Amino acid sequence: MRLPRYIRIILNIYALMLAGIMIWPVIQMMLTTVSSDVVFPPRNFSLQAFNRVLWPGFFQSMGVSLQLGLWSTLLLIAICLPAAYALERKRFPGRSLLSALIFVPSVFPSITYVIAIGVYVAIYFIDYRGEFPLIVIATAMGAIPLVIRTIQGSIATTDPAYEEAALVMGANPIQTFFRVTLPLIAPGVITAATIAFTFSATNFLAAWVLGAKDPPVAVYIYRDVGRLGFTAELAVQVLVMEFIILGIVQLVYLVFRRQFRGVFA
Amino acid sequence: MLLLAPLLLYMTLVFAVPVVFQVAFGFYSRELYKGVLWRPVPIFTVENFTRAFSGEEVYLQSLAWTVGVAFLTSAISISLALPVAYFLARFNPFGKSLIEISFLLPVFGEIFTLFALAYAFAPEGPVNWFLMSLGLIHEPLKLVGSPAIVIIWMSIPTLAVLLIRSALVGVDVIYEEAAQTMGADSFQTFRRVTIPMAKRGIMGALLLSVSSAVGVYTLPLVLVGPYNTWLANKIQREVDPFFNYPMASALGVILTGVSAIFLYLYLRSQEAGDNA
Repeated sequence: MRLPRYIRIILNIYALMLAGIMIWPVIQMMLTTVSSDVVFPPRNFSLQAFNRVLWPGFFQSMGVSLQLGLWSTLLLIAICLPAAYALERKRFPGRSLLSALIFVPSVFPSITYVIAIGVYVAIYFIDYRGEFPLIVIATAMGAIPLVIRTIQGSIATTDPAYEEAALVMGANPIQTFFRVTLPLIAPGVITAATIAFTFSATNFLAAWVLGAKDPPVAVYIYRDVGRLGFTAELAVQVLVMEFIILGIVQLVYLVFRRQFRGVFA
Repeated sequence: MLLLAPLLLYMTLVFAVPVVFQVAFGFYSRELYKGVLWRPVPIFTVENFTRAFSGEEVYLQSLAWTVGVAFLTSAISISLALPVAYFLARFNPFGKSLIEISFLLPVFGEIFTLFALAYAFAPEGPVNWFLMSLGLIHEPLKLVGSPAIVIIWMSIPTLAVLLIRSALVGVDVIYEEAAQTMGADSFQTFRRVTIPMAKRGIMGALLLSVSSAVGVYTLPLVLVGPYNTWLANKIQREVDPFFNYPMASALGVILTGVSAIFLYLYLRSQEAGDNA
């Protein structure tokens, strides 16, 4: 459709404004961490907030978060990799139903099943309430569709001819999978793993609702809101948390970019 | 089949079993235990559901508020998203990649966005500063802790833009050009040709958006505080201070049901279009 020039300019400014609203939280957090009080425009620049954070507690919960991210990623890859392979390569009755069923937990708001898990655990397994493995299991659920979709996409773009060749030459299916298929789809699996890690390590809902005994960092920070209100120290913690988690993801990419030259743009 | 077994086992144990038990617990009654604690007992009752839908309790009001806000904010965010989505679908705007990436930002780190919002809407934060320097208000609004902040943030289109854009891309340019050749101006073309042709996609985006917006939990919890009106928070409060598991389960079933109704409508609206 042809649009008059002035409408195009207005629409462009509008789009940039919306983008600005989305990007601006990042700037806001950075501004808050370097000013001593939550006032805009910032008047007292200081790094005091970094001093007043209770770092030992923060790093302890950061450790919990990273473990949560790691275990949940391992769990997700372990259950989603074979499933994605089967959904993409094998043909069996009920395949389309199954691939739709996988998305059921994610289309419902996650709070509904997290509360169901919480009540179920509280009634039948009260001794395990808030234990770390339980939090890992409950957190992983939300990332299943993302992980399966990502792996499925990378399986779909690799040619099955290589696997067939390996099978013809006498490799058994397990050898074929680990020596041929897995190296071919590795970039997709790594992308899926980083998505799963980011999702689980920053996840708040499952750990909060299930009452984690060792709080992950998101819960640790939120607990201080009730006590202190929104202060600059909390902004420091949120920012550092985000830096550490995204930093790890970036590191993983840097390491593997060398391995798979030309695959990661 | 063996390859799917781990996933199916996991989803059965962690999703299906708790959800089925949730439906069952919804019909449990409860009794006083040692005089201080309530505990659920397996005696069939529909009291939880009648309580949830009776006008005297807070639950019905909470449900109405949750669904109402979800509908209102989804409608606002989608109508705000329409021009941008159209623009992104048809033209090559200045800063296109920046705009596209920015709409995906809220996906990463919910907590990050929430805290940033709280600082922005603080009494002396940028939003109040902006409004005051425009002269619209004379003293800072107390936005953090009021439901207004949640409604405002839910109304700002983020993923809605991407959802609608794919609906608008599906409309062939030929029809718009035909309308313009015949003398319609650009606004008329957009309203009379583009929107009706993308109607199914827009309806789909609306229903999906409502179905996820009824489950909003963390946003009001952090920004308004634990004692707010949203249903998901009410459910959690039944569990935490009151230990009223049957009531929490009944409300959970209702919330899942509401979300499922919108999902069903979404699926049906997509199918109806395929046959037509």
